[in-house]
Amino acid sequence: MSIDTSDYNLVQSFLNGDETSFNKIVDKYKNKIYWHARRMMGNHLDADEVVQEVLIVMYKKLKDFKFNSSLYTWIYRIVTTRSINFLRKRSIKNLFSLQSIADNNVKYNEDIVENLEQKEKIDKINKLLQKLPRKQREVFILRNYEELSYEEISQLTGKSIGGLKANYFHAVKKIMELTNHEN
Amino acid sequence: MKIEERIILYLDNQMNDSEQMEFEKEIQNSKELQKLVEKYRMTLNNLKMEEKISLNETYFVNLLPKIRKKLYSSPKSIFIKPSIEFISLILIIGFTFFISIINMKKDFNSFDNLISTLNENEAAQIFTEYDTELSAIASDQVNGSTEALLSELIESELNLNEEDVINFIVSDAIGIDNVFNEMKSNETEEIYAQLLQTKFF
Repeated sequence: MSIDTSDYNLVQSFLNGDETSFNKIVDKYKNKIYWHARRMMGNHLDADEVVQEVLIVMYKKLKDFKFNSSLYTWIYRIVTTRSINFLRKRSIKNLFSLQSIADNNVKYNEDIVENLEQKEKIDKINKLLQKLPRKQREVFILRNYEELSYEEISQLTGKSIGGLKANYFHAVKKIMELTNHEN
Repeated sequence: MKIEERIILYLDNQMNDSEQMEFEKEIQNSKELQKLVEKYRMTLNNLKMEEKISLNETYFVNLLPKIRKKLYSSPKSIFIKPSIEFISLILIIGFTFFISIINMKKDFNSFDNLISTLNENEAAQIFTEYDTELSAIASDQVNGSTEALLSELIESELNLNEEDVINFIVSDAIGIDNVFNEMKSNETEEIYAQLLQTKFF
């Protein structure tokens, strides 16, 4: 596996005490981290919490990263894991109705997207993605948005390639059904 | 394989070379198929629109200082969220209920163990006597009156048999009812208290 020398240099520089290197790493991957979390969570506020958790984990755990995979893959694994944990917590809260309706409404009002029309389109897409089962959503995001190969997704998620292909297939079928239904 | 399935495989680059060539020929020869493939492609591409979206950069500018503040701030005091308290309470109640059921089962097991130490005749005797007392106590047929019922209880408590009582009554010409009249009040109270303490069931 060829190491991205720029990522390698940045990580080494950070481990040697240069805090600005961490800022550069975040700046390089911030959009990908945010949008991945946003697609998994479905709204800005939850995505923001996940992003903050991810950056804290990155800051603390970069010293343990040995470049067995690309830095991008490592970061993505953290985002996916944190998102899934957050989704589980959210579903328990919803089960016990411990989250007030006001809290849910606030989530959909605050956003990082400035343009209102774009925000509505994003929300529509997010609602569509949220209707997919979690495993299908995860594979679909990694395949369709990040254009990762099934081998890379398998390394990321630990799932078999055959299972991933099946999940992707069902995800696309479901999205087409939902889109046709809306039209 | 259905046509929609083939389209998905085609757009996902999961067909081998020969399958792909064959499918592309079919697409060229069918306008309907062309439209359907294009519909799938457009739908999937439209989902990627956020690549063109302008984001509020202030969010990212403020993000790192927020993270650093969290990293360097003092450890949070232990605050248990109400949701965790609620779940903990349910778990404690459930656990207590579970333990009480296990203990009840143990009690039944103890009773079963007791019975298992008796031989068949002893066990039969206990159940017969138990059943007899229950029948006698529960039945209104016993001489048709509560006084007669009380007499039965007194007989068993005083370890009398019916014949003795009858002989006593006949020989001394005193009715059972008069036995109480002949007793002093403290004697009747004592018997009454003992009766109350005795478990007939």
